[in-house]
Amino acid sequence: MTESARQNRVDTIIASAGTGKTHRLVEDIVAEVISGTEPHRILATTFTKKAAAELAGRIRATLIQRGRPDLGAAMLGARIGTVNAVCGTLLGEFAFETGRSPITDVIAEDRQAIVFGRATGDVFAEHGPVISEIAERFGIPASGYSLHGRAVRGWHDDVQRAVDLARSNGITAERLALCAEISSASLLTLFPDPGEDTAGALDAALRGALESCIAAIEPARAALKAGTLKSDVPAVEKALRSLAAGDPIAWPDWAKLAKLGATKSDEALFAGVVASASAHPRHPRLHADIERYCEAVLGCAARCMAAYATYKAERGLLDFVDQEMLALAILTEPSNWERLRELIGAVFVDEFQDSSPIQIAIFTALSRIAPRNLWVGDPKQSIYGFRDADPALTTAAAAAITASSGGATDYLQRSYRTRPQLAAFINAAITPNMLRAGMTEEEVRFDRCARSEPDLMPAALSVWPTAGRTKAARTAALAARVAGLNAEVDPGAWAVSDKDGALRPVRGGDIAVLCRGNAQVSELATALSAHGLRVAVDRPGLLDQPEIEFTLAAFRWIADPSDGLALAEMARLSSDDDTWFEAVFEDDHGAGLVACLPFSGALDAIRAEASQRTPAEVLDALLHAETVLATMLRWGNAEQRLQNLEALRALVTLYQEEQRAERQAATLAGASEWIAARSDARQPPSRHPDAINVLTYHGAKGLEWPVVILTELDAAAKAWPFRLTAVDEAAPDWAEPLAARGLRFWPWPYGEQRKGVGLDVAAPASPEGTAVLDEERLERARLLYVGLTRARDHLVLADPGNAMLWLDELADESGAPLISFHPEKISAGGVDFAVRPPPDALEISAEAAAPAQEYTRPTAVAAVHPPLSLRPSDAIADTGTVRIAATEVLGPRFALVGDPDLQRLGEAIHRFLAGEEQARGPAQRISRAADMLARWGVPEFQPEDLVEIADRLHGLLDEQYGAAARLAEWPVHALEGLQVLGGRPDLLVDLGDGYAIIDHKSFPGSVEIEAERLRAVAGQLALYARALRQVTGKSRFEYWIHQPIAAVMTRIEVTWGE
Amino acid sequence: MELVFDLWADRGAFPDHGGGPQGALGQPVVGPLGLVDTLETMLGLGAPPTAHVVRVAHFQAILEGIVGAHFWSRSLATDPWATARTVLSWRDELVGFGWRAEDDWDEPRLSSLAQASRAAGTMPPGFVDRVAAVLAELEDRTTAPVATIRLADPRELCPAPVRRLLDRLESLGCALIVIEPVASASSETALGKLQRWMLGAPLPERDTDKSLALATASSEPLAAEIAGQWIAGQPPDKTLALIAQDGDSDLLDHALRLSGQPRAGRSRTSVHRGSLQLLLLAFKARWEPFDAGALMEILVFPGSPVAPRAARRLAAALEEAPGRGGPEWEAAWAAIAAAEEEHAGDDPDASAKIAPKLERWRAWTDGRLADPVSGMPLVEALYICDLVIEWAARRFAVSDDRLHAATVTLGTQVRAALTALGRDPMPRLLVERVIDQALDQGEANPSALTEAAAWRCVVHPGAIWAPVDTLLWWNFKATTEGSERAPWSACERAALAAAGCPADEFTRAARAASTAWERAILHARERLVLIAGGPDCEDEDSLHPLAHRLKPALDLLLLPLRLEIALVTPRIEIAGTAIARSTLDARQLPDAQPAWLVPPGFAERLAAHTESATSLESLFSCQLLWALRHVARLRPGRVRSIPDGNQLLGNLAHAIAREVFPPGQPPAPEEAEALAEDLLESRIDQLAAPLRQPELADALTLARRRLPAAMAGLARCLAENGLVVEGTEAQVSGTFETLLALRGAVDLVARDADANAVIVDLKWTHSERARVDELATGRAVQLATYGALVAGNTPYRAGYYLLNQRQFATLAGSGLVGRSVEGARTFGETWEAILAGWRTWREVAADGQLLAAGVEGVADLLPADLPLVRDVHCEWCDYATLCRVRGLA
Ligand code: SF4
Repeated sequence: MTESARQNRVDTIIASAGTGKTHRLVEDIVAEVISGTEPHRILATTFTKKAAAELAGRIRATLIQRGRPDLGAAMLGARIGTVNAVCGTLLGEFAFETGRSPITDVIAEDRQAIVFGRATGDVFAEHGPVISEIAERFGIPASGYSLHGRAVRGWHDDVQRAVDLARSNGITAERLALCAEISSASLLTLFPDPGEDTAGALDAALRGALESCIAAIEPARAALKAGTLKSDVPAVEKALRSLAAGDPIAWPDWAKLAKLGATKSDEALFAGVVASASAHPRHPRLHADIERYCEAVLGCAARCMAAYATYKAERGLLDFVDQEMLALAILTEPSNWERLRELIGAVFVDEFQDSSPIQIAIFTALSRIAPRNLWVGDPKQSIYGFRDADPALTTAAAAAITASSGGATDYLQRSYRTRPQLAAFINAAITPNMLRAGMTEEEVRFDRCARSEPDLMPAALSVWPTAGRTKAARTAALAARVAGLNAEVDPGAWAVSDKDGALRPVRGGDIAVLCRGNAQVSELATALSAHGLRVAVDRPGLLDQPEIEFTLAAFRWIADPSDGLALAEMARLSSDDDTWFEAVFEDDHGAGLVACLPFSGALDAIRAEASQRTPAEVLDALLHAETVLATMLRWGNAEQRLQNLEALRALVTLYQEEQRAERQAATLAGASEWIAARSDARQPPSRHPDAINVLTYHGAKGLEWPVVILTELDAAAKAWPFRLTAVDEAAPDWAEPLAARGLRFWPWPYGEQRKGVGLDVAAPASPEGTAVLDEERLERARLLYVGLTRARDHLVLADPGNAMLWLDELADESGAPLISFHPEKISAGGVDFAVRPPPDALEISAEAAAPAQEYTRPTAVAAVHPPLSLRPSDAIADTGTVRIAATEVLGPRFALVGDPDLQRLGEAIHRFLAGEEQARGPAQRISRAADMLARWGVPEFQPEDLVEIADRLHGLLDEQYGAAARLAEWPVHALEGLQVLGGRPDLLVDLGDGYAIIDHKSFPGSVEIEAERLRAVAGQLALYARALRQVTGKSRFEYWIHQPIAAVMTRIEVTWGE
Repeated sequence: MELVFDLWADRGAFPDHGGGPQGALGQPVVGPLGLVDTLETMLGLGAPPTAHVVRVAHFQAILEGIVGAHFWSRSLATDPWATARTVLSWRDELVGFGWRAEDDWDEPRLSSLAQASRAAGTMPPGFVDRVAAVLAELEDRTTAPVATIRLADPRELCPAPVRRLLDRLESLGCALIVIEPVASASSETALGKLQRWMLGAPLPERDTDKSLALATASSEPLAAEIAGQWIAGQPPDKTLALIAQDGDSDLLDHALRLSGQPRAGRSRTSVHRGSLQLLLLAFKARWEPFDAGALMEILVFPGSPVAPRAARRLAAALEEAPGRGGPEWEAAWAAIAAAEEEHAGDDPDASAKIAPKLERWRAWTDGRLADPVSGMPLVEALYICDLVIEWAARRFAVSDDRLHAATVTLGTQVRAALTALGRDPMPRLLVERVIDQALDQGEANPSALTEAAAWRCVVHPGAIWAPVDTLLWWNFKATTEGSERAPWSACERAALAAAGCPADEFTRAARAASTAWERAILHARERLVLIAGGPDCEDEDSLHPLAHRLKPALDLLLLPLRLEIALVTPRIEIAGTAIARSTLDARQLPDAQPAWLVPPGFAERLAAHTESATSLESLFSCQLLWALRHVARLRPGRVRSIPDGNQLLGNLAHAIAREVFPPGQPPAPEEAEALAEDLLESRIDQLAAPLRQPELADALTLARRRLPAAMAGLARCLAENGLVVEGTEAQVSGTFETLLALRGAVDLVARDADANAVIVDLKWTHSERARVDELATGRAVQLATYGALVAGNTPYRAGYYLLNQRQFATLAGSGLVGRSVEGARTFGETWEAILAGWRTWREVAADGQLLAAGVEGVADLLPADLPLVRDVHCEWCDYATLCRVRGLA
């Protein structure tokens, strides 16, 4: 290792949940800064943007509290952000070193699929035919969709995932071919050997069997059982149709044929088909299909990688993986090290356990740059396996790098969050599993609690029966208990503690219910709403909410006045009668509908100004059109409606940003269309302090509540190895975590046929299958740990009455569940914990509560306000008389040669007159005049003439006013009513008791000034006079118009009319 | 002259001048730009302003002209514009330090920059060049042009060019007086305690009062509403400054207006403003593959360059057959021309104008498409710019809208840039990048107007340089201000320092920003209100960074207020100002409604209405849907109406079938396949252009893979059944039951050996299930209807040809070769059921009701024995908002 690649010390902190990890991190960073590392050399990464903002804020606040506001201010320049954000700053700073554009557009996460689709359209078009053909035989659609809440993946998704995984694991396109080979080979070991039978023979046998089967069915049809007719016969017919069309029978159909005859009495009819079809696992063509499919999908992925890379490069786009990969390249390039060491003095990594392999590689590289490194995390809380975090690798890497760099490992075991009872329960419940996973006691256990067990508080644990026959019934039972808790009248029954330890009655916002997936979150939220409870959950269906329908209808109508449907929708939602419905059937329904809308005129006005506004501003304008918002708020629940509208506003802004990123136009019509396609847009969670929190275990990470209810403890492990994953092809090396990564792709060839096909049994028993299950179990235990550790005062285990498959995975050496439920107690690992009784289950009350009175802004009298500034150039003397009092010819007029830009010439003359110093010598003056004319691009005018203009003007002024002070371009500023009179008169001559106000008019026109113009100038001069009078109190004014080119000074007099 | 200098005063300051209550003469408040401008004016300097983009364009040309390897070289090849812009900003920063490009620089980057800077000698000046010119001018002077400058920002926190100017002025005798901010509020108040703590006093005791408030709302409009009411409630004799952080008061202005208040009139620049978009759109519609959506956007664009009367026809054609050059498109043009002729009548002048007018419209809609990779010929690109310039200039002439003028400028700049690039043809990415750069920061809303008010609005807290009674900080939210990083390495810094032009300190920007934020707080005399609106804005991490600075004291001195309470209480108070709220009359949310009263005009409409097979299908699935779509013809807007991928495939298949199967013997399967292959691409362009968009790559693959084979299959099917084609898209009509007027186009009518009709309806569907099911259950409305129209009482047979599955689905027992489906009804029986069903629905309507079949509760209202019911698909229905199936959850 060269000196410049030295490994600096890395310290690690293992922080159990609620042990003050962020506090510690803040302290360490503050100490680092106070000890002299410049704030801008601090680099800290967190898992979310929000965490980054919180960390940065707390560091600054702490520095200020320690009396170092200077450092607090300087911390604004520190690199604190998500790994991607931090990588982004490095990319910016090393753009030239890497030959990249200094401006990188990062593709937002939710945009990636679209950009990928655009980039790879051609590749898909080319590979599509081959892949589709096999995919159809496997029953795999091209694009994924969701069926009964289950996501069905299409092969497109697999290709994209392969590309993502390959890129984020540093697997090259070339290597994918090898991955395909290894994948299909390993998968094929789960199938029986083809043996002697050829594909042709197996096909012929099945065909024969099918034909005899149908021949036997026809005469017997009338006597067949319904089940046979509904499912078995069509299967035979379908297979025969395929054969007739010359298409092979798809593998799910083979599998299905092998399972025919479920109705006993008709079983015999299908025996022949079943026998022949059962050969499917050893069918040589199935094996070949699997091999070719792996090859084709990963082959397509390899091509897509290149196409995607080119597309992004041409557009200067980057995605998150690129950002990380490029940052890694920058960090490992020796020629950058010197500069990097200037830029990065200390590195702090939060939540290291959630890192992906490439992020570990980045942190490792950073530790060779920065002298100080601290990695903080908790391997027990690594729950992002589904997002390609690799807990085994990260944990091993952290331990190894700490050890080999001579760093220290510190453990935070003291809980600041939870009651001692809960800490003890969690210790008992979780420790054995974690120890078996290779962790140590100090990594796992809480050893103390900062809180003491509060007096008078009932037991911390509670088990709520929520049994029911159906899932919906179980959900309802749970909701009923939550409602019961919420309605608890005894303030002490479920008292909770504030951060400062004081006890108070529980309220909705103190309760969190954790679910495993979004579907259950939505269902439970609905069930809770049925009890009239507020729920803090982001729910689907933003676009289906009436306030959004209404607003979007208005938006669409502004965008496209021919949108009759939009008009009808607005009318339907805003009117209380059916007049609109009548209007719809009139000949010109547009006019009729418009008449139903009191605010249509306001929307018309917005349309008229739409060319000046952005789509987002149009949305705001329409929300503020008279009666529009009130129409929606009168439906009640104004707070939630306003939040939904806020979400809509955010969507429009997102649309605009996206268009900018794509360098495309953002139009009203485009926005309408784009939003309409966002059917997945969600309603933001209620922010009301009484709203009960319902969210996923994953979403709960990093948060805490006084009362936490864990649900779905009966969920079974899936252990489904048919997917695309990154694997280590050799033992992982923390120093080079990407060195041995590969992809394993196991497609499922039987479509919707998931059971009884042989493979469903063989796979879980294979080494790969067992490994998948083991990994899943570990992850499930960690997720449970996260759930258990969210509670401050009360932890509730919902008991749905089924076997608690998930909870039971917390087991002792022998695999026996650690936790058992008993009346009035729970035992965990042999220790008993008291439980408190659950709240009563509350019935849903039949009568709806009367809606609460809500309030809005009072209607104000519409007022017309004049503009703030009263510009002299806009003023016209519209009263009184203007009279030419004197005309002084300054000399012969200047003839203009050529065709100078008069405006620029005027500007040059003004500026020359303003900055001219007659005291300078003639040559200098002329050269300055020449410069001025050159800068203003009017070479047609002679510098000597410009000097002459100045001399003539000042000559006259000398004559008129002697040595009185002359103020060129002095700003004046005065108030007239609420309006501001301000400007810079060209020239003022201080008369002592007043001013002569001189205005240069460089138009070369004739000496005669037309009346209109005269009034305008007079108005302007008079306005200055008013301002000057107000500011100085002086009252004598003279008005001059100076026409330098015409060489005339005209004194005018203004007499004000009444 | 006596200046007040404030780093943030260029967009207005509080107070807005440096004089006394009566006003000011020669006492302006200036920011950096104002300072330089003032000095230039006084010194006889200054030049016409140059847009930054122009400088960047110049500099790009300069960099590209410099030979040899420089630190920017590789990046310049990748992204010339952004590279030029960045390198220019570095060069500018150096010039601001007082760096001299003429010197020898050892540091490689400084040396390269020096070379570039020297080559850039003739470039239009930027801010730092103007500063340099002023400094040079001041070199030979012995007196300061300005007597006094009061500094709101300490000199060491100013960026180098400003600092150097101030230093020089001082050396010429100008008095620089730093305004030291002090705690302006009384020490008794929470605000006063906060200020004193900020200045070093120990943390105060817990104590809240009316001098300090922090209010947040998850809804930004709600926050604005309350802010508006709050401002309206302020006493006129107190000075009030409003900080519109982020430079925009658009939202707040709506709220102010609704509270009867004057508007603050601050508008942020944006590239997304209406008329600026047309240039992008004009180009977007001119690249291959043809983008029907983009053209549609042009057609519905506010003030579209194609007159609405013509645009409407073209839009309708695009809706029907998204593409150009096909029959629908040409028919639209013919109709437009005819309408114009008619309009012109006998007026020869008007007639003479028609051709040029059509020409101009065609220029927008029918321009040649360019290949995005090889590029668009320069002349065409320039022509598109000209079109936009002309459009905007015309609009400007009538509207006087500055944004149209800006659009003219934009078009002109892009035109100039495209010309200057010297590339011909121009690839799409390059064109788009040029436009993007010319848009730069965009424009502010020209109609945003600051109205006369007793209060003042500034866009940055730093612009408050003197005490104010009341300070309202609107939009007190996170900002990235102060996080900028300078590019200079330690060695470069050392070299610069050694050469007497040191770089600014690393933390200067952050400290300057922090100081400015704090200054605003210190200047509040009686009240400070901080308001933020938007999702999560009450979270500490969403608040302005100053909140972190103030947190220890704020925790003790105020209780944050959730403005949502204003929705449920008649009165709230913020910092001593009571805000009255008025009650909101609750209203029922419109309910889902299964039965609708037949409106008065309905019978008349219905009498004029002709049914089609499709409308009958609608009728049997939902009467309300039928009434709205087919009787009332209530339609969604244009852009939403471009068909999706599946529909396009169906249209395409139909159009191709029409040509592959002319009347007579069907072609041989191979022939049909070959012909379909030949036709495919051109027909896609004419009527299914969106298939060529990358998003529909799948559908296109499918079309290419399946359509020719489907045509072959259809040919085979016709042959197997011994059929001769009589016609495709055969127009048929008839009247039944005296009242049922029907019209339709039958996909394919064939004759069998007995000269009996065989109706073939072509279907492109994902799965055959629905159509097979129709046959099985006797609900094949289309087939039975066409049968009745084509064959009347003579015998006929019929079937669906399922193109995607290459299956001919017919009723068992028809004798046709194909997939025979055991049907519950014959077609004749189905037709009877249709007639009966139609009668039944007629009666329902005559009884005064229209029923919405998907709405809960409809079951009790449905007529007893409906002979034919089709599935209701509310999820695909356009009218779900009206019947309120939508929004039930
Ligand atoms: S949404 Fe359903 S019920 Fe309503 S009109 Fe459409 S089809 Fe009928």
